[in-house]
Amino acid sequence: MLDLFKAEIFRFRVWIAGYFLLHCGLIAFYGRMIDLLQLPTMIVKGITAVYLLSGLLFGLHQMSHYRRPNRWLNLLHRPVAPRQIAGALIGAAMVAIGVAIVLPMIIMLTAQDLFSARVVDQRHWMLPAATFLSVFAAYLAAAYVILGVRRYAWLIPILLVFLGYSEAIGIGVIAIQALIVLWLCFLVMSAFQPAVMQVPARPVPLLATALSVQMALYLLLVTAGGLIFQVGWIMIGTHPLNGAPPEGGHVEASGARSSDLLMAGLARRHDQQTRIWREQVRLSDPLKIQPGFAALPARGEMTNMMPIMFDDEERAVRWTFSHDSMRFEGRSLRNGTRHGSLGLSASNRSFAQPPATFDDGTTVNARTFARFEPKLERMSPRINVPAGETIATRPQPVGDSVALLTDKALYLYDREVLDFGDEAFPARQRIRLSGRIGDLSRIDFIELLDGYLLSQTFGRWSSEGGSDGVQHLEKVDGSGKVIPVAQRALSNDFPAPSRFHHIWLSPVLQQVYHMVTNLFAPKAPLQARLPPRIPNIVWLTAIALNLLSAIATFWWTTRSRLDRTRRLGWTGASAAIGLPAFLSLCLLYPLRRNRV
Amino acid sequence: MRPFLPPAPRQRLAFGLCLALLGAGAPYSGTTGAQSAGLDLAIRKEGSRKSAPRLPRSAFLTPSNLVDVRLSPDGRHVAFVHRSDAGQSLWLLDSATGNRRRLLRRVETKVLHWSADSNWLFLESQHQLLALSIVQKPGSGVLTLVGRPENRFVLGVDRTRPSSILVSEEIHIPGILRPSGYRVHRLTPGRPPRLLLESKEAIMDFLPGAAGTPSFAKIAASSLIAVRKVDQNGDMADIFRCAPLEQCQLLSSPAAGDLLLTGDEGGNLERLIRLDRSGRRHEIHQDPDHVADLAEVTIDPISGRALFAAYRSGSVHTYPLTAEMRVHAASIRAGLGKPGFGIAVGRGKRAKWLVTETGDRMQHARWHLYDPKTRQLREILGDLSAGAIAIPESAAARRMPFRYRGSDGFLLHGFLSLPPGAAPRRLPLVVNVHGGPWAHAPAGYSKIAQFLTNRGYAVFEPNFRGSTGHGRAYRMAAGADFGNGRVQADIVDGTRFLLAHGIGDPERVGIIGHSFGGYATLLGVTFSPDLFQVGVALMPPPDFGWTLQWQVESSRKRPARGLDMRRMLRQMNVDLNDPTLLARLKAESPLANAARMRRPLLIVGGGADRNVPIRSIIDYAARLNMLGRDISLFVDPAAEHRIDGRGPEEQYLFMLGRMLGAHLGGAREEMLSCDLGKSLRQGLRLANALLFDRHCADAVTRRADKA
Repeated sequence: MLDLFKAEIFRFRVWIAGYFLLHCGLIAFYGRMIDLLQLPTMIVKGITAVYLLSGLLFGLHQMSHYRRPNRWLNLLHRPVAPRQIAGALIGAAMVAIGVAIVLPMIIMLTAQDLFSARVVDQRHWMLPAATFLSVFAAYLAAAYVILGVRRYAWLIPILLVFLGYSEAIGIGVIAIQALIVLWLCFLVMSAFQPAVMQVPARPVPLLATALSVQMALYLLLVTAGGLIFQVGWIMIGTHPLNGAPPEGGHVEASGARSSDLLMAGLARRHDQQTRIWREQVRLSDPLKIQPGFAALPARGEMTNMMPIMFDDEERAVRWTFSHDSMRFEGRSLRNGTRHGSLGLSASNRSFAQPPATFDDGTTVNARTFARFEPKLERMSPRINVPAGETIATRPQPVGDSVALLTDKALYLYDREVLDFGDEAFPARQRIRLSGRIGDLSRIDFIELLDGYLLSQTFGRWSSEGGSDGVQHLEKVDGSGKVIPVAQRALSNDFPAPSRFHHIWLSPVLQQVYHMVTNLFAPKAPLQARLPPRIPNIVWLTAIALNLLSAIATFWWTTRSRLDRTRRLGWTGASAAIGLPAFLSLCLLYPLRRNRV
Repeated sequence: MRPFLPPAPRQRLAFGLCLALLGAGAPYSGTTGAQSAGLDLAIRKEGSRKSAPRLPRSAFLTPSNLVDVRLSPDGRHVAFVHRSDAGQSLWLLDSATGNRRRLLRRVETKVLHWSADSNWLFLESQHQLLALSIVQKPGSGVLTLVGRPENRFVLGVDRTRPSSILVSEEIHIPGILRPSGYRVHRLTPGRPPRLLLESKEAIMDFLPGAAGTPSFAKIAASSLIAVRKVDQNGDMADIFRCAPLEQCQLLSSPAAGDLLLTGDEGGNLERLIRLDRSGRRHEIHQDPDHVADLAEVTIDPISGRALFAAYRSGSVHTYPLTAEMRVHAASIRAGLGKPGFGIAVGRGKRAKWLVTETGDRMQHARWHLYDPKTRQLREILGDLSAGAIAIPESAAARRMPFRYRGSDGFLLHGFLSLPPGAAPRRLPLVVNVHGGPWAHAPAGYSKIAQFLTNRGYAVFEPNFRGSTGHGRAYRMAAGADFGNGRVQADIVDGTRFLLAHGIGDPERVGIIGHSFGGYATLLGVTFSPDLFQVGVALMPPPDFGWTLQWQVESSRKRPARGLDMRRMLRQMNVDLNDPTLLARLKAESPLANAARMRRPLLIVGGGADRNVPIRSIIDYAARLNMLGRDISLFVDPAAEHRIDGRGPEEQYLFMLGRMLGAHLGGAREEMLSCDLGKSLRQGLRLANALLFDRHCADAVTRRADKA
């Protein structure tokens, strides 16, 4: 086994060395220009995709080399157990990944930590492990494509989407990646047998293979099916996003001018006061606010959505946030030396949560909006929201006020709050949200003589299985008292089968998907949504589809001459899981082959 | 020692904020006030003049191309900032030869200051203060940044030092609302700044004493202003407390320990006062006619003595204050043919004096050099200023000051302008009400009055009781009667007085105004529809009491250089804690009486107005529109509490001309250019057809050219 491992390393030595050098060169080059540890998530995802592609190609290349019948015979017919042979090949791949991809990262981290004033947090040391696990998972998926039964093995790399769709952060990401790697390892080891191209016979490998194929099929059907449906609808020309949107729906409401939306909200009222409001809406310049952040930075997450840094141009200092000290750490742009730590207010206390930063030196975290004061070299809190609330937008000037949205309420302040803080200028009005922030599409309002006429529109995700759209109209008086004015239900522009196709296709797999992607995920207050009202037709469709799948499975298993236990097992699985189970059966046990 | 009063724009601004809650007017000039006989004579004179041709709107909007003109203390040079299409440039004129040379090709300067030794020019712009040596000394360059957000403001030149200027500073800790202290620095080119005074209270002005003599500081404390003597150690002691609402201007210290200042303390009219070193007060000069507040004082740049005092309420008069000046004043009056003028005196062997000539028919000022030896006047810069004059004096209307009795017998002041050569009885009459209300009618040359008279309207500008410029008693006479009460009655009484004297057609009377004037306009068309056939209101508060409360509430948390707005209003007899007063103002407001408003009305609002919030205007307009009234509403989203810029100004004149023309029988106003017409349409939230044109001026001209 050791010889095989060494031989494999020797075989790829040039490639490994070349990749290592190129990787080191690129890191050194870009590291001179930018702080690679502060790259935004989008860029990191792009770089990770390149790493994953490397792993995939390596896996395909390595295994396809041995997969040729004569080589496979040579490989397996050794006085070593197939599992050990697989261990040697996979072990060599792990070393290759470690040297070519992970080692340069470790060198970069060490150098940055020891020889520069740039921030290197504990969380950054998890990056090499996370990268290794991701690339290794890609390698394993590619290996399985070559080693597994070709009819369904090509589906397995689809499972890698869980790497990207997981909501976990920090060590949770490592845990999810480790679980995926273990799962794929098991699949590869079960396929690494002398008789290739055979469906696993033992129940556990068979179950693992079938579940993997079913989940991959589910993801494929949800994505590709949804895409084909939408494209087809667009081509027909009646798609709600084509031309004029349907009247009274959420698409119309989300794209409407503020004045039209306020007018629509008032449409069913005919009293004297409403007539005056209509006139005022017509004459005013209505103001609009939309949720700004999908999420705020969380402590310990490995990458930043956006770099948490800003420059003090007067002193030529770059302030970068450290998750370890929970303060900004300064670095001179002139000579690269350290320039102290920057906490909150005069006491220089640490931040409770990592903030998002903006070019003008302002920061926002869950509860505090703060501004950097260059004269004092101090980060001064300007607005604090009550405990239990999370800021959802930067403060923005609207009319003669400044508005700030949290996950619970809209706050209106005097404009001076940005300069002097909410102790001197406390919120004039607090308007509670009528729904959940995750469903909120927009808030529109006009200034009245003694307050505001305000519309809250919900249903942001209604076309994709979120809760139904609704518009609430309220009058807010000068003292902040809120008086409901009207409520308007917004019709669904998309048919229920389209909105809930991820449910009726397989309620069980949808739940599994939801569970896996939210495993180890922290609370996300800015994504809080009301549970959708799922129409009965969706459940009826799901039940009918599962029944049909079960019947078809029973028929198929009968024709496939599977034994009674398996026949009942597959039929039960199809009754529970639905169409993906039946399709996986077709791929695992095709009729023609069985006939032969 | 300060050559003019008030000495710095910053102080004027602070004063304006205190008094003119809804917008103030500019200083004014006029000729001697007259009772009805005198007015009749003046009207006959205007009737005998040659009619003026109709001038394009743009002619009324031409700005002066001389931004600032200043005489050096030695009287040998005049520095001026010239504005042209290429930008602003700084020039120096030799007062002996008249030769001019350009010092800087491009400047942003708004105000010029000469150093005491006449060797340096200090160039004050919106954001910085520059020093420029005119004798090639080293040290020219930026002295400091000024204005917000640096919180530094130029106080004026330090006359006790050859080449220094004084700058005040508010010390702000970022994030803390109130300044933690105030400082005054002396800045000298090529030297580090020197701290002269530091205080926890707001330092509004500072007059340094010569070596060994005390300095003087003007300190704002809540609602009062105190003058304090500052000894060598920086210790301060009150020597004078200005009367409530009075801005005492520190002028000079003509002798060690003496102080010249202005104020109305202990009397009615604002006058020139000397405080001797023992703190005793001596009145130096006040209006001999006992009508006007003191407007300007000319100070000797060497001795610090007061040389001239000028009064500009109703009539413009400049009085010499010394025997030497008496002779020169007579020569200057004879040379100009006017009793009033502005003057800066130079001292030295070849010194000349700079005389500023303004007038109600002069679109822009004229400048003269006066030679005290020959007593001759010589006009300067005429070739430069002439290019900006688009309204010849022959075509401009006179603004005739007159007095009338209100229905309660109170003697009131106002201005009347008539189109030259017209019979007054047949003219449509427009009442143009000033803002404030604690301000006064924009006298001297008035763009609006000239535009309206050129379009064939008689224009009446009342200085109702409560207006400034005529003493404390006049200003306080309104009490808090700003609803449909005494103040509004003064405006109506003045209008009826003119109609009764055969001025204006009673069937064709309109009312217009800005800010408080707009409020009076709304009151006029609401409660006096028999008198006023049409109204045009610029940024009007539909409920004066609500707007004052809103302003106080908005400013409560924003300290305005030590002066508390609520207390100042109480001193003006407007107590916003008095529910009876607020209820009365509300009950008498145009907003509460919207149903009574039945006349055509145009309202112009500013989207960024922080004096009259646009929400209040929209609320009022919406109610009128719902009632089916003939209401037009134009909103400029970027405008604050004024119409700013030539484009918006021309749009306003267009709308004003169209509205008055349509409802008072005047000529139709010419169409706008395509760009202005387009932005006008965008801003018109409510409009009847007369404010729209299907075509625009450019397109019509192009078609005509093609044809």
